[in-house]
Amino acid sequence: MKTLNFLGLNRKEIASGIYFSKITDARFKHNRVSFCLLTRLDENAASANAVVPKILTNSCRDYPDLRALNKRLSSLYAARLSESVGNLGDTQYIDISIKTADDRYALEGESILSEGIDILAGCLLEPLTENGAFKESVTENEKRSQIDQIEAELNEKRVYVIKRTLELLCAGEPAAVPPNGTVEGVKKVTPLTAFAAYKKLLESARIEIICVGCNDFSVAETTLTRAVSRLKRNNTEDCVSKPGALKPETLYREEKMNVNQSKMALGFKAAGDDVDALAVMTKIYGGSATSKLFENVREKMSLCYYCLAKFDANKRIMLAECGVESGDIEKARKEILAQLDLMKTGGFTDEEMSHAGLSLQNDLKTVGDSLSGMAKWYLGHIYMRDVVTPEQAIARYLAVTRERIIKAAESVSLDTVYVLTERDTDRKGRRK
Amino acid sequence: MTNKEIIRNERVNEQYVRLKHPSGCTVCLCPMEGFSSAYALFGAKYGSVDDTFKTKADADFVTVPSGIAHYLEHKLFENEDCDAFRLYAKTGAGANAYTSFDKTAYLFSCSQKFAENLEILLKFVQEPYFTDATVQKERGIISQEIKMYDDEPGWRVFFNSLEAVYYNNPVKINIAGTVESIAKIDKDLLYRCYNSFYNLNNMVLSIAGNFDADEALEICDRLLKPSPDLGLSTVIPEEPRGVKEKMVREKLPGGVPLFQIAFKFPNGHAAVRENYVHYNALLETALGKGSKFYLDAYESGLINETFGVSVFSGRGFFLCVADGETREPERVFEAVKSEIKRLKKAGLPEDDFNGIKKKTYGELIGSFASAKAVASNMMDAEFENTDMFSDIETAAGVTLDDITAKLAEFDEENSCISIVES
Repeated sequence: MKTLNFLGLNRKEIASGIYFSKITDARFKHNRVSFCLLTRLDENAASANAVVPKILTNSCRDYPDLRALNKRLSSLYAARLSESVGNLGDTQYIDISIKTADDRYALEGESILSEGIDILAGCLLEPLTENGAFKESVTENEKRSQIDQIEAELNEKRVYVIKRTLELLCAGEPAAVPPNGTVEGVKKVTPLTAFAAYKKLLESARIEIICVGCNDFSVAETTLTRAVSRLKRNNTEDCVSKPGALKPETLYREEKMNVNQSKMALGFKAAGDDVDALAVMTKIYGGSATSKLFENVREKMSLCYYCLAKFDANKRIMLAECGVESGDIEKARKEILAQLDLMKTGGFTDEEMSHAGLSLQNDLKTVGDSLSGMAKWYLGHIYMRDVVTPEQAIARYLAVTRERIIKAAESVSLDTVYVLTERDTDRKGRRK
Repeated sequence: MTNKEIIRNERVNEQYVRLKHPSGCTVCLCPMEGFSSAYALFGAKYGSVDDTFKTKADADFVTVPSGIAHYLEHKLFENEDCDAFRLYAKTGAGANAYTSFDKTAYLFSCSQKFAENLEILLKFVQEPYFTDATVQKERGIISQEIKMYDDEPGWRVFFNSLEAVYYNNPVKINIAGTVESIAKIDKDLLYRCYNSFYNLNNMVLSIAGNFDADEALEICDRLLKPSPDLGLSTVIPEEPRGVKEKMVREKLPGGVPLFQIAFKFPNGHAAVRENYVHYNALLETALGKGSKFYLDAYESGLINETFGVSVFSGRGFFLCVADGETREPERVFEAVKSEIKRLKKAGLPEDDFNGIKKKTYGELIGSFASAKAVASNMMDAEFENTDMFSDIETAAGVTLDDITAKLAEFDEENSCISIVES
């Protein structure tokens, strides 16, 4: 077994491709144990994989229906069993976690964490089955729930615009596959195919168990090591992301909908690999309330309420997004690009650099103040094979020079522009 | 400081300091060992519901355009020579502000240069600077904010339900106002509202996390400007008992239709703090994720995992709410009402209640887990004339009899449903 002890993070491989990491910090009042399955995004598997955690958190052998399970969680002082599915670059992650109050708050002396871990292990490894597959009624309920979730992505237009832009920006790459699956894909899932997806994930997905909280997690380690020792592991996945190629010509796509406000996202790809400089560059460009996009597109031109940029190191892509009046789309697009040109030609001050450094410093120093912030940080960095503490990341950002920022900006090119805009028709009859 | 009070709770082993500063401002301080960041809130008891008010210098009440508290929040960041974001940029703090129905708060979170950040916060909130040009410039930005929310079904379903429940209560008006109402806001109105509500007697400074309490108090002594009590009074209009409409619908592009069911209670319910905990426990026991109702409705496909219950309350408003997504909103509405009727006869299941009691208590422990949560809870408690620990004490002591009594008062027919569908 390999063990890594790294500034508070204790990490070891407890079975083939299964890693157990823990961070103990006495100031927390809760403990969180997350069981995260990582697998390459694949359009043929994503939908079934996305339904699996819903089925697993619906019931299990010990708690045979949702009511029994939820009642148990309630009586365990609001223990929260949650599932989430998403992507890290080209990888789909399927996370099932439990968060419990610390044992010291038990009114009747219960061992809240170890009881919580038993529930987690039960849900993960002892699901309800019939005829060698998941139960049909549970599968159908959770398929419906997953379809509702996919369709509800349209309720938040900003989220929808980002999703659509990423699909176009990364077309042909695994990262373009929606991690939650598609409505058509989920409809095709059967109790048997969902169970096969579950078996395959347990057999070959990379598994990262991440514990954060005030407990020392020795019981968690023993229980989960014993639980996963029963798994047959084969062909375990490595899971890496690769940056995609820039399109020969910028893709412009417009979608019309009955909306009050148009939304635009500009997707860029970076040819350079200096991810620290790209992160600092994005911060100056559009990552704070004193960034170029905020100060110019919002404050000076009054075009938007939000206008910002984000960088994804896994895929080396930058996304600039804003909400804007349909008549101002072109004006906003030109200004967003003009501000990037300024970054490329060194049109930013030392003060702007120092502000970006301070802002990154503040963002990263607060990571350690929440359980989910810590878990997310370490999962992201473990995934990138770049395990650093927030403090070490700060030092790297502060070492980025003006020249590196300019070079990073120069390496960024526009790949995709996506606009969601209002229909030309009037909006009569909106309200019955 | 003679009026310094230590508020301590043995159950969660936490404490904080509360004092009435000579300037008139109430100050709550909770240093938290081991945390790397501090979170500070400087808040005024002034929200979107406070659109009709007077001070003792005014002859009569004045009603101002809706959205003005929020407009003021936007404009206050800009001082005569600089905007507050630029000042915070020099320290690296994350800064923001928010306006709700009954309060406005300015905040920062920082892991360094705490003293400088607190100085920035106290100075800019106390130094308004509005000109015709800067007020005009903000209108475009706020109009885009309003339009952004107008496209969100979750926001619309919520406000439509408030409009359906209330005849007169200003809580039904969008916090940011409308594109039309904000067109009537000018610098003189902003100054009038600022001078009435941003009086330190009407404000709270709340700080939690990694900071030195003595240093914070020294900065308060230096920067909080003594304010005479203006005798501010606001009016929440009389509200009929019944709901205005039983059902409202709106069409918006989106996924599965959204619904919000609201049960109307007298405004006075909000003034009794324990109601918040008791009604939450009642709703969770009757309709929450561990209830028989939830299981049946979920398994039959009537609701999905977004279904939830909550209490929506604040200064002068109190509603019990059930919301989520469904393809059959009318059926959900009937099912929820008939379950409440059934439970009134059959009684609440004691076993379920015992689980919910622990759940409510467990969730409240989470409210002491972060600097942000603690600072917000101290401020909210202050505005409600209570302390940060009152809810957890109520939760630890709630009995089945308490919530059965609330169930008996529950008028399930005094309710409405708001639906947003595509």
